[in-house]
Amino acid sequence: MSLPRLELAPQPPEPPRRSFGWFILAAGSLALAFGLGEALVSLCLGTRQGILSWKTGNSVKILFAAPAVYLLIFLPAAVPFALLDRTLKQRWSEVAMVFGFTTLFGISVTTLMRPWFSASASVILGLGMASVVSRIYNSDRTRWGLALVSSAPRLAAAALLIGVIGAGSASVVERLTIARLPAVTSSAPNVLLIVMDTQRADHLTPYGYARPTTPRLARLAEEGVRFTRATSPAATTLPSHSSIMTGQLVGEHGAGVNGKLFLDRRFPTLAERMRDSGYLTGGFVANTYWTGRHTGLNRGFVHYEDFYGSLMDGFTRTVMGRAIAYQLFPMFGRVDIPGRKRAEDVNRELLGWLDSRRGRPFFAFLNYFDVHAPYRPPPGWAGRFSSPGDSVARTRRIEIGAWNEGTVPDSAVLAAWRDRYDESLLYLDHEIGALLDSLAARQLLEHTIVIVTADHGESFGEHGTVHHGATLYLEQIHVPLILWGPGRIPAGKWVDRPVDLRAIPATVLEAVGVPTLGFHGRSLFASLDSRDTTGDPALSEGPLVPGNPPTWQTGKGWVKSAVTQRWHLVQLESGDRELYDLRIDPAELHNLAAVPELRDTLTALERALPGTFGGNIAAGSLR
Amino acid sequence: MHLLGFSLALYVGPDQILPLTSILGAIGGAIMIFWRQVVGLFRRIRSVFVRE
Repeated sequence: MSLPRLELAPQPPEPPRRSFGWFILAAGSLALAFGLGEALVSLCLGTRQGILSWKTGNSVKILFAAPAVYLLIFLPAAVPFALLDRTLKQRWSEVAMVFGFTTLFGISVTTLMRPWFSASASVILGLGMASVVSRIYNSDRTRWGLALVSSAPRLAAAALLIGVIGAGSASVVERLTIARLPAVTSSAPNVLLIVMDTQRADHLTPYGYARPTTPRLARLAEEGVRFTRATSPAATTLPSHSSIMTGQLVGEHGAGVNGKLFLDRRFPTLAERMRDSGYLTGGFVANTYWTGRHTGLNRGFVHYEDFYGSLMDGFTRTVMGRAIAYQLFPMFGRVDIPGRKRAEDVNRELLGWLDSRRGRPFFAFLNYFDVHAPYRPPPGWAGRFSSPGDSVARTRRIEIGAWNEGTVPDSAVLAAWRDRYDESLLYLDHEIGALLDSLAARQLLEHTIVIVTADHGESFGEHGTVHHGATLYLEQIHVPLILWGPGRIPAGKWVDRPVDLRAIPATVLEAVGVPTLGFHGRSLFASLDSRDTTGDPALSEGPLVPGNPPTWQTGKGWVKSAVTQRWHLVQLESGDRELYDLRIDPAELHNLAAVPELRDTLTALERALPGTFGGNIAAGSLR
Repeated sequence: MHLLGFSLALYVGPDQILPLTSILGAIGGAIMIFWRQVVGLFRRIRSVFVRE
């Protein structure tokens, strides 16, 4: 009679009971190995546009951050396993630790692959990976347990080395790129392009706002040109910034359309043209969700500062850190964006870079994120326009804005939102002033052309919407636009002609004497000429955004808009049209599209609308 | 037939990839979790067809 095969197989000897130090060392090894693993997966996925999502963008600094965050989570998590091992008779605690940590890693890396794996698939895959690893571990615990603790120093050295090489290589590439830049004349002016994310025009002092929100920008407008009817090409960040950089309509560059959440390489960018003309090009962005390098907006910049503006941002660059910060923190009343980069951080990054890179004119692009929801002015600024009540934190979650439900709260909350928004703007104005003063102290400002604008506006209950990206009414697309440059830009000029931000590349290139070929034809300098009577309407587009609330226009289909000196036409994919007379109805409350006497006006405006979405209605409707 | 293939190719996009790869991933994950049972089942099926 033969015995079953399993009983004949040699069983590995039971390892000695693990010490507390063993659990800590083993957890450290797993943290370093898995942290490096997530970092490498993230970097590999980042090499191809469109894989990383708006929340998972990253840079090479993840090589430092991910092992550190894993250590921060795994080391304390190892303590209960160590205590269990001492108290329980059964010896399953160490295998459970390996299983648990591997599950977290598996879920993390598959979560990064969101275009391919849903949340539930990520969990099953994570559990599957953990099952395989813990089965192998359990087959010879003595051997693998020893390997785990003995590899800790080697893994630490490897993590450090890879991190240093990764971070150093970015600096070397930048230096090599600058060394290859063509010569540029010493008289060429610097250009500072400031985009205030989510800043509607009518909350600025130079645009007639009753509150003194922007004394410094008011001064800048007095000394330069203010465009009173500037509109953004879109009501969300990525499409609008893409138009600002390429001079193209949203439907042409396609960023933010049909689920394509990046700017592809079909059109040249302003930064590329400036770099190829010998300019030092630097981008310093605070809205890393929608202007981080994963969006492609970094193209043409020899230096781009997006992620890792703070330790907290470094924490949220990993999947586990992000989950903790976004799910756990709000439970304790922390409803601001974790690691939000403030204007002072953006300024510090720019000035530090300028101090280390002298000798060439610069083109610097700044994106400030201070007034964006959740409306949280920095400490010391809240309460400047009212009591510093906390009605913003009416929910226990982080209200990022355009990507939340979009239900309109009651009037008291809306009023508190406006107060906090204005206080954030007051802070931002102060910081813009501080930056200009710092540039002046370095003798750089007098040779600099400054452009101040915004990528879109913000609703506070108008037309039944909040935040942005919902519609193309003026509160979401009317943005400030100020040009300033001593000796180059006329002072104290008001331009009432409608313009849209696609004109920025041509304007900058014309200002610095570089051919504008390949960019939207008319620069803003043409609009400065009072004899110019072209009267082209300012155009905006709102692509369908699957997932937007169905009460929003962009939740149901695309939206197009044309603004002239007097009229504003809003056309929906459904065929509905809205026409407003801005002279008598600036709040856009009375739709005149059905008035027979205005049929010719309506037809003329419809002809002016961009036709770009017309050809891809079917694709745009995919959900 | 060509038209059918062409129509199917047009239909396949990112929105269709996610459910497909998620199902495949979940199947792969489940196989990894229940590896021994899967191998046992495979052996049993194999023994039906292949007599030693």
